[in-house]
Amino acid sequence: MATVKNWQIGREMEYPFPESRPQRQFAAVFDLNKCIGCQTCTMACKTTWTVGKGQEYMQWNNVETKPYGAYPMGWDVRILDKLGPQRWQGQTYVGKTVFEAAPQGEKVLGYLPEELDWTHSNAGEDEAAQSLDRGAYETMPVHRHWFFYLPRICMHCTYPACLAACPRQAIYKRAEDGIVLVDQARCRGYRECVKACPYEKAFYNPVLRISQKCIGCYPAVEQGIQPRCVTTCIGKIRLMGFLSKPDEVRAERPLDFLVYVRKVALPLYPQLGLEGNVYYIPPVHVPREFLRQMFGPGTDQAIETYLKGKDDPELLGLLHLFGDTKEIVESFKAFPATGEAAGYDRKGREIVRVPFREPNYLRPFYDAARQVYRHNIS
Amino acid sequence: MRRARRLLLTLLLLVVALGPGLAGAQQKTLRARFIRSAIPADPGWRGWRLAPAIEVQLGPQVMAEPWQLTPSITRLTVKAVHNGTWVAFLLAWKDATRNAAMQTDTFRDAVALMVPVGRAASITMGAPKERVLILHWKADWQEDVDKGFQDVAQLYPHAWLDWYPFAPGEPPYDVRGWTNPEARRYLTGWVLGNPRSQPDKRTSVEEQVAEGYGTLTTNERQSAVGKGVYTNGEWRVVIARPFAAGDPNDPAWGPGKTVPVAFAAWDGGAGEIGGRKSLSDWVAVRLSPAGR
Ligand code: SF4
Ligand code: SF4
Ligand code: SF4
Repeated sequence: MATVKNWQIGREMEYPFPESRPQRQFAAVFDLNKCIGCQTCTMACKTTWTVGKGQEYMQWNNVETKPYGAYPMGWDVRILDKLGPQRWQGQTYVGKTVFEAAPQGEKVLGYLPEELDWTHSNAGEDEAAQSLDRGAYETMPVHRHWFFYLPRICMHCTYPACLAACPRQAIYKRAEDGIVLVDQARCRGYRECVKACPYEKAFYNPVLRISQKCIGCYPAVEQGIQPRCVTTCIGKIRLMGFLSKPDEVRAERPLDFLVYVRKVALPLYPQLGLEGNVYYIPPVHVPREFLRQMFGPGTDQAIETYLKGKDDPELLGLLHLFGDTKEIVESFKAFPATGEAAGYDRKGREIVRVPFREPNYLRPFYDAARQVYRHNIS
Repeated sequence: MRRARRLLLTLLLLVVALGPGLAGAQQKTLRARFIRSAIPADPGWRGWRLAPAIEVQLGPQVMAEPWQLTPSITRLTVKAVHNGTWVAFLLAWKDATRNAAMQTDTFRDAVALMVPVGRAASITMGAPKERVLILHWKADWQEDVDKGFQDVAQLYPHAWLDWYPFAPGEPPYDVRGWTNPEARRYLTGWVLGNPRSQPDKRTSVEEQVAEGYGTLTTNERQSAVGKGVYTNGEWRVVIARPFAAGDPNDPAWGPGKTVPVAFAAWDGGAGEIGGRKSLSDWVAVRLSPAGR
């Protein structure tokens, strides 16, 4: 065991390998306020990467409805239950990570989902946290009857549990972009990774008898293109980019800005200790208690910052760059004077420019030329 | 503190694990008789009846994580014969369940034997420059050989999918017929030559080499054959290989020699796979001189 720094839990922790951060880290931010649960991302990944034999049940990208949905069944409650009650002290997690809580003779605390857990991947869809009584009404911004969609992909963790658990070192994290891959020639289908990944994002292919997982769309990323599940997102909730090391923050980098500077995007279950690299903007209508257990102590500040976003041109501008280009935005700039935001590629070339506010057009209710009434006049 | 406790427990367990194995190795030698006939890779072969047997104790695997502290299979009955060119082992053990499928949450039964490539090697699956040859029989490979490749239709008889990109033929699209590269694009392990993913299995035994934990590699040449049969709650598995296969990884064995051999077993029903196994210490195998 080595001692490594995990900034998401505000302390050092034990991990089987020494700290070795990649030159650039694949990362993404998902804005949960905007996800409409359309599963276009799921289909994009599915039709691109998992239409093969033995992949029938696999969804490297899945979207589940919280609080009741989970793919595989109950992945979150099961790992949290195994870990038992743990505590944060301020910004520091004083409980145990899945590495520190590993039983004797194991590298990681985990479990192997049963086959049935993988079926009904969208069970619990659109189920609200509680049923509506007669005369029910909603409160704002936090709703009394709530649910939200949680889209999930592999986090390409800084401290991957899948990699830690593989006794054959068949899993590796690429130095050039931090993408975590399973060597398909070296894997022997032991499923230690499936057991170990607390997010259950390592899958076993029963026909090829080896494990497979999200490849971060590396053939696209290598060409400066964002992944399939990001570029196809209907709700424009996603932005993929690179995240700097926590001590080399560059505010002009979209991911750095959202994660380190404004801190509106938070890790998912940071207490597990993997330092995952998919970050979430928490949904503002969900009770804070639920969000805090999911996203950690940064939740309240993140929501406050997000709600004030309309008065923060940089944040506002950057949020508008989500889903507006398929290229990876390496840096961005907001122009409050013109009400625009622009994104730039690695060479500093402008690749996208969007207005903060779409122009508004009003049309008459009755269209005399076509002799029809309009449903929508703006 | 935690580390120290862990180390202490490891040492204790090592003593427990190696204790009976070491004693066994000192006491017991397996005699592999010379026979004149060919040796069929068949556990039901009559010749096995005349071969002397020994009981080999298997203990927990607590040397490399993940451990198997409470292994399922604690003893094997082992016999061996040779005909001057081939050596064959018969391994038998009780197992309440026959596990031959590798579905998402199931594991297969397996058994293996390990021989140093040079004169001796560490019991820890060898060590750098102390290579071992490992002959690993797997119940799922046996199923592939006996019944044809275990494709989706075999693993999940009630599953139905009407389309795979570029797949030739018709549902359920037997993967053995996927000869076109477009269809094979999704069969990563097969395309990359991972033996696990090959639909065309010729043997149920994988020949592997290792130089310590985590270094297990499929041997470039595959010369071993085998067959496992499960009846009345017992697996009987034959593993056979030529002494000399013209392979740089041929062990220093042959007629008239005594070689150390170690054994390991996996109970798929108990989730055993990889390092989650039970294993023996070295057992001396005395190979009779040819002609006697
Ligand atoms: S999310 Fe799971 S599968 Fe992905 S890198 Fe982290 S531990 Fe591995
Ligand atoms: S990054 Fe690519 S491989 Fe990973 S979930 Fe998204 S589409 Fe699938
Ligand atoms: S495509 Fe976007 S909006 Fe639709 S479910 Fe996926 S993440 Fe949500």
